[in-house]
Amino acid sequence: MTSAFMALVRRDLAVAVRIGGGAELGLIFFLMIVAIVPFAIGPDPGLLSRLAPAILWIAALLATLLGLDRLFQADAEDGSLDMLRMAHLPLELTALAKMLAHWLLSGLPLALAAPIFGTMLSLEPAAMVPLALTLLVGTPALTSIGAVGAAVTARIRRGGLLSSILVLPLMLPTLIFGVSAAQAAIGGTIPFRTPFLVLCGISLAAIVIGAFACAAALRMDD
Amino acid sequence: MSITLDRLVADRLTCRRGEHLVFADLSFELTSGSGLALIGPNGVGKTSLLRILAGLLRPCSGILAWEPQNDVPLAEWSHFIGVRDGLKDSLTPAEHVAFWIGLGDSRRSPNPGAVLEAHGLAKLALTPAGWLSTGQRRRLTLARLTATSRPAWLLDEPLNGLDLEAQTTLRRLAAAHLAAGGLIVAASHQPLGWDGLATLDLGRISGAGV
Repeated sequence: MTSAFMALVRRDLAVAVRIGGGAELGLIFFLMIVAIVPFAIGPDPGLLSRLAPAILWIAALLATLLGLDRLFQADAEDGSLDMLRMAHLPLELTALAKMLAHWLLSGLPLALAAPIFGTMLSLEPAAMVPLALTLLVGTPALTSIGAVGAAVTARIRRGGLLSSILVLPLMLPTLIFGVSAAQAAIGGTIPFRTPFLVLCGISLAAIVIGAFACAAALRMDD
Repeated sequence: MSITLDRLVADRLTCRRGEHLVFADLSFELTSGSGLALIGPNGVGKTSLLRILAGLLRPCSGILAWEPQNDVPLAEWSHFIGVRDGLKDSLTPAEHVAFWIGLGDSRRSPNPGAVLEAHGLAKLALTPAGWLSTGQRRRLTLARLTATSRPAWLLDEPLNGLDLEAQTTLRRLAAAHLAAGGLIVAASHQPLGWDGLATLDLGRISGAGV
């Protein structure tokens, strides 16, 4: 069962890297948002520094949504979803493997790149590691929640927009606690730990619920 | 074959798609080593029946039973080769076969090279599937039958796009599969010419309730 899980992760990574919609697409989108914000709100370092965690989190959320709608749709269109539904691997683990592959190519690079891109928003050095940590812990939740939307709209043509509208409200708690944890690291009345642990809890719950919800959506007859 | 399906019984299966009744009260029985060729005009429910047998579609009513009866769902007993080929354009045949072997039951894993060789794809092992011709893609799809061994083969228009050589290969594989105690249900407009397959004309029973 482990080998089947890893085989699916490897295949999804290979497909994403070959098509070229892998890590670089999300990263470039992320960089674009981060690069234009200082032009829009002005070059005031104090203001940028205060807004940096929020901007980086919004950018990460939008970059995660990008391409997520194709997570199951591509497999539904070419027929390989039928094969995955008939595989020895439970459909919950199939969904989890696809979520993991997506996160490795979207969430993980974003979390690692965020401190570097943060310098463009004059992110305080003290906030760099906590911000990367919040994204590292929070992006799996974004991927899992987004995957449910992708599974529900897998058989709908041009379901991408619908999927984004469905999942965006569900991503708000992750965003709120992610930003508040990153901001708590710079200063404020609450310690970093409090919102960070809530974020960890949201992420763990989202991964488990997401895997089961995806499987339930994919099991619906066509 | 490590596991075999001794018996597959369909009892008064009824299939509806939306408001439309596709077929009603369809009953048949298959035993280990036998097969069924589904024929009938377009829209008579051949693919729907295959998808029901594959566990991908629930019948509206009726019972599907199989022996040995255990916890394994019917979907895991069978290979379903549909019209959509399930191939990724960016992956090579060798990667596809390695993925299918990895995804399957790992108790008995064949050599990927041997699987490709058996389907006449050895020379194309490293060509991305997007570059393959229709027939070559079809050969690769059918290689899934050899990559992992499952007792029931559900084939939807298996001969589509295949040249004579590949048709012969498939006929030989099907005969070997039946001889080893497997089951085959194949829907085809072209006469298959395979031994050991009974014919079920869905066109004649559709909606008539035989």
